[in-house]
Amino acid sequence: MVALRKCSKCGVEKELCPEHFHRSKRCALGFGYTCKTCKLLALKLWKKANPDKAKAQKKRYQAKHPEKQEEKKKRWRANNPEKWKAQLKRRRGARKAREPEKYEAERKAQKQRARERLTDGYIKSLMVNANSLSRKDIPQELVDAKRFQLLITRKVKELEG
Amino acid sequence: MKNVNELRDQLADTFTALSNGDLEAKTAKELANLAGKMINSAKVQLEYHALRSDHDAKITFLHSTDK
Repeated sequence: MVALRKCSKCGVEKELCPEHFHRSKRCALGFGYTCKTCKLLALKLWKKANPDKAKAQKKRYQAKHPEKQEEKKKRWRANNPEKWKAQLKRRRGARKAREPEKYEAERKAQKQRARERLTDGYIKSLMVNANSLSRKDIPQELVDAKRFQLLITRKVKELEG
Repeated sequence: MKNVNELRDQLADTFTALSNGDLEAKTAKELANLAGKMINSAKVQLEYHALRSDHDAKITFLHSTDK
């Protein structure tokens, strides 16, 4: 037999299950007296009426559970790669406009680091100078071979002084 | 060196030998030069297929695993 409960807010009788009522140890039969729809609506209204408190509460929660936030961000980035790319582009643009000199200096340093470390991106950029070839066309094996060739050339230069 | 994997392995060995002092700088330089030519010729083949929009084309040097 299915147990039913009348919501104390809307008065609608609903099935007493986690789908319709939040769990509560204090209430009879382990479920709250207000249905989920009413609770969520009340929460939404409260947030609208108390934006500062809601913001503070959210911040407190995020500080308390940083790993959950990171997981959530990762999930969003994986599910919305285009949006994430656009967001990064926007942020870069904003940063460039805000601190142009610092931005340029950091970019230069980043390029220098890539050159020193012989990253895949740097090696591919060397190989795609011809305009018909794109980075994704270059297989990883060829990048690895090119990396060793550059390493040898550098080492020879170093030995020859 | 029949394919890119062999070329990579050969270059890795050359680099190790050069670092250990088992190989002369001049020899290593020649090997690196030769490797550069092979890599560039593979790149030209890639460019050719990219220009023809033939992205699934099989390039023997890049895709063969024969020893």
